[in-house]
Amino acid sequence: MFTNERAIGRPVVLTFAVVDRDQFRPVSTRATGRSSPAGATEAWASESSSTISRIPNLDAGPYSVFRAAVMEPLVPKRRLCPSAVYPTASASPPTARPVVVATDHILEKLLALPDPFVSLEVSLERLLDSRLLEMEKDQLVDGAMEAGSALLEAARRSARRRASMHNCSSWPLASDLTIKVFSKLDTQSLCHAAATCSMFNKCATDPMCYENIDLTAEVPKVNNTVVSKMIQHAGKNLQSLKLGIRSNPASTTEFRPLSYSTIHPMEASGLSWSQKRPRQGRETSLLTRSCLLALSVDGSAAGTLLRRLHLYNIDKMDTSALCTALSACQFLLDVEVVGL
Amino acid sequence: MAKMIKLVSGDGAEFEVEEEVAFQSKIIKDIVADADDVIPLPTVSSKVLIQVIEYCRKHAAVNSFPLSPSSSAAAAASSSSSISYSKPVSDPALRAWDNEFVKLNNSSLFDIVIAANYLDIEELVDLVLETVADRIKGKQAQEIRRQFNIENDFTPEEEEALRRENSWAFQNN
Repeated sequence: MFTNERAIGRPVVLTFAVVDRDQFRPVSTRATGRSSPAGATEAWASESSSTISRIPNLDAGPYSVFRAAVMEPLVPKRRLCPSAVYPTASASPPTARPVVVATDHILEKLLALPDPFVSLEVSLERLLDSRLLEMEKDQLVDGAMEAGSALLEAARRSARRRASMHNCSSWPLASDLTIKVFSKLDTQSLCHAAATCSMFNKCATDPMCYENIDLTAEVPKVNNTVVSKMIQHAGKNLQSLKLGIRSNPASTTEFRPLSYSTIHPMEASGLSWSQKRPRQGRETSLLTRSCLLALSVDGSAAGTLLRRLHLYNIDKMDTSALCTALSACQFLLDVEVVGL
Repeated sequence: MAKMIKLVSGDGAEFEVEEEVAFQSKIIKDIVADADDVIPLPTVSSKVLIQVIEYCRKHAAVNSFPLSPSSSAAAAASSSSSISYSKPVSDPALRAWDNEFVKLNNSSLFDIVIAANYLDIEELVDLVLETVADRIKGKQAQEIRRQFNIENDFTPEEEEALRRENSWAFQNN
């Protein structure tokens, strides 16, 4: 029997409802869980044995284990967020019947109304008429608003939970591979990926994604806080940092007329950085001299592995701040400072 | 006579490959060192295994011949910078082949990278992940969601906080 020693995880028995991916209908209530990409869920739906089986890649990210909707309504409300691990899932007795609360019937009837906007308003008016006291009427209306908000919030929360579950099952890569993908993204694309969903957002916080931070732009956009946050995310992984304002080296091939002061003539033709003609840094930059402070904190933890530092047209940077930063980075190989 | 290794896919199909091709996978290399020449791969389907073997075959052929002077110069140049970007394949012809190889839909790419990860074929994993990354680059969040069938599960407050934190990234140029 071929065992992959590398992928051994702890044997775990999980009790959970296996959900049909397309319909989100529970199809069975007990199965051995296996962490695997989405396509395998159908294969497991038919398994009903409760033998312990190895779950490879359990350490690769809990969200790769398939999570499904819990059936008992008494389970405490928690977002079925990919990052939550449920070690007690097997502890819930499989034979306990959920307490059927009266609300379930009420809700079912409510949701079965064919034309809720009309019928609810009509019924509410009728109830108001039947109440004699003004105070009662006020209470009724307040109650209706509260119930309405409560239902709306519950539905939205459910929608988000289902969206999270859907993402879990439709994104096939385990978190370690996802993080590797993100580590190949430029910083701006990384931010966009992080904004797509909570699963990607979590992966995007891994230090590996911040090895090469490029916050350069054509116009000033970034401030010190953004820079320090990213440097913090990187921790010891930071290898390359580029900040400041420069014209996109890939965008234009035509020669841009020099418009910055002649204090720093960029005529030296032999140097590679002279070909990057940055725009006049007259615009107020949101980066100040302390933008590189984050490199020096924590015993220069972030500066430790930094190999490349490129600074473009950071007006407010001065030599002393630059020197402080440089001294935090013992192993710099490639430094480019333009427009100091 | 080249030594042959037999790989058995998840759906029971058998594939005989030369040892050097199979050894692109570090896992297979380790197993064969211990014992068997027949290696069952229950989590890898035939379709994916065929593609992986194709990749391994192409790369084994390249690796076994000494580098031509031009490609070895390129290799030397790229390794001189000690900043760890992913190692580019130095031979342009091979790179072109790789680019053709990954012209697949997302689903197929994912299948391949999962199998390659399982088999520990580092270059293939890297190639596919790089391709996936390219499909994300330059896209807005909504486009990324559409591409990869992802749903937005943030609360309005969370989404607002995210956009605020990295507002520089979300401004249109």
